[in-house]
Amino acid sequence: MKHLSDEQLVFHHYQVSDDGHSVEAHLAGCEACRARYQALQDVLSAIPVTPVPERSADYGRQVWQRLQPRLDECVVPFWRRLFERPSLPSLPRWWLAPAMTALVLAAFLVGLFWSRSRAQDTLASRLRQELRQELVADFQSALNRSQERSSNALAALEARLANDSKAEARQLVQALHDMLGRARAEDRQMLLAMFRNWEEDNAAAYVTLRQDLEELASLTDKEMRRARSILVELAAQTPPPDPPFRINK
Amino acid sequence: MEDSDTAVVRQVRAGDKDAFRVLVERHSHALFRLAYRMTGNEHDADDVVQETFLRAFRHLNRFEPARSFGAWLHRITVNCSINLLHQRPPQVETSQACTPLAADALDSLAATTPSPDGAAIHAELQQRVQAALGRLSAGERTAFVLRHFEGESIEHIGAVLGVGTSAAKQYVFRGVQKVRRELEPLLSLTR
Repeated sequence: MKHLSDEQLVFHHYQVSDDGHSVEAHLAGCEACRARYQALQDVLSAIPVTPVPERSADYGRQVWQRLQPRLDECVVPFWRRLFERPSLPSLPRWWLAPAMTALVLAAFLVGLFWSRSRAQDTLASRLRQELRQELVADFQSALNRSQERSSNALAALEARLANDSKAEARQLVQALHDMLGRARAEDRQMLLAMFRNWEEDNAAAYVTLRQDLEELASLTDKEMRRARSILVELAAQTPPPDPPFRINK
Repeated sequence: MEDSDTAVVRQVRAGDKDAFRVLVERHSHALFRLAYRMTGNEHDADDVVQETFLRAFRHLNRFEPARSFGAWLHRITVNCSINLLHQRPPQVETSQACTPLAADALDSLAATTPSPDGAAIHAELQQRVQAALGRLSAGERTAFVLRHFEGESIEHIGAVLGVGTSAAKQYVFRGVQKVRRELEPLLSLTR
């Protein structure tokens, strides 16, 4: 026969047993368990239930009179009220720590991306200006060289044709001069077109870079929101902690 | 019709500080009983009641209306009592502080125990009762006091401790076992 456990006996004594009838039946038929139950009752009955000192009927009023002036001391600072809003009662106290950590992390990431974005903008602008100056300088240099070569060739041709018929020579020089002028204009057009193409390519690349950065920032923001909602869910699902009892030695 | 605790709490939260008076007058006696059982001292119990209401007022926004306001107050009372007990210097001598728990029992024990060593056993038993209660954890002590002295239901004990009924029963059981271990050797001498 299986005897009753101490737990069953204690619960039976305090009438909080789940199976009171079976415990009762067992005690009726088992002398050993009955003796153990008697021993338990002897100990517990040795601890008296002494009367609590009487308090007058208006004890509550007395407590209130002493309490009322002290309630003004309980003015809660606004920042504590913020964390104790009635809408947040189900959150245990520990939610503050991860929430604050997440907030600091979010602020750090935002700051990081913000400063990175600003740095990217500044760098791109500076590079763009330097490249433009370099290109303009190259273009000017090429134009000057072309002009110089044309002028030299024209001067040499004029000298060589000095002895020829003046009218013919003048026509020839004029034709050559016009031809060179057209060639120079075409060169200029071509270089300008090249410059415009380069500028458009560069702008497209810059826009793409900016889009990438914005997308990254958006994704990070989404992740932060998701993490925050998980934290809130976790906090809501966690039961409130036990009262902050101290453990007796 | 008398307003429910939750309705009064709502009023106080809305800024009607004087409405808190209703709660104070309604619960003071019950809190005093519990504080007295926990501390064993009348004056300490009065202080605990004051401190309980102060804390409750200060943290009223933490109270969840779905739960019992009385149990919430009892929980604060238990915490205040435990804090007070820890601030006290250890007491080994027989004093007013331990009478609610043991003195009368020891007197009745003396009356029914014709042993010549009765007085010595009394003193020893009294110390052991106090020692046993002192060794209980806060949860065990609360559960034991509420069940043994106040006859509170397991559900109420669970609400005060913030645990389920099974855990509350375990607190009661462990409290009883520790008290037994302290008292049984001496009680066997008196038989």
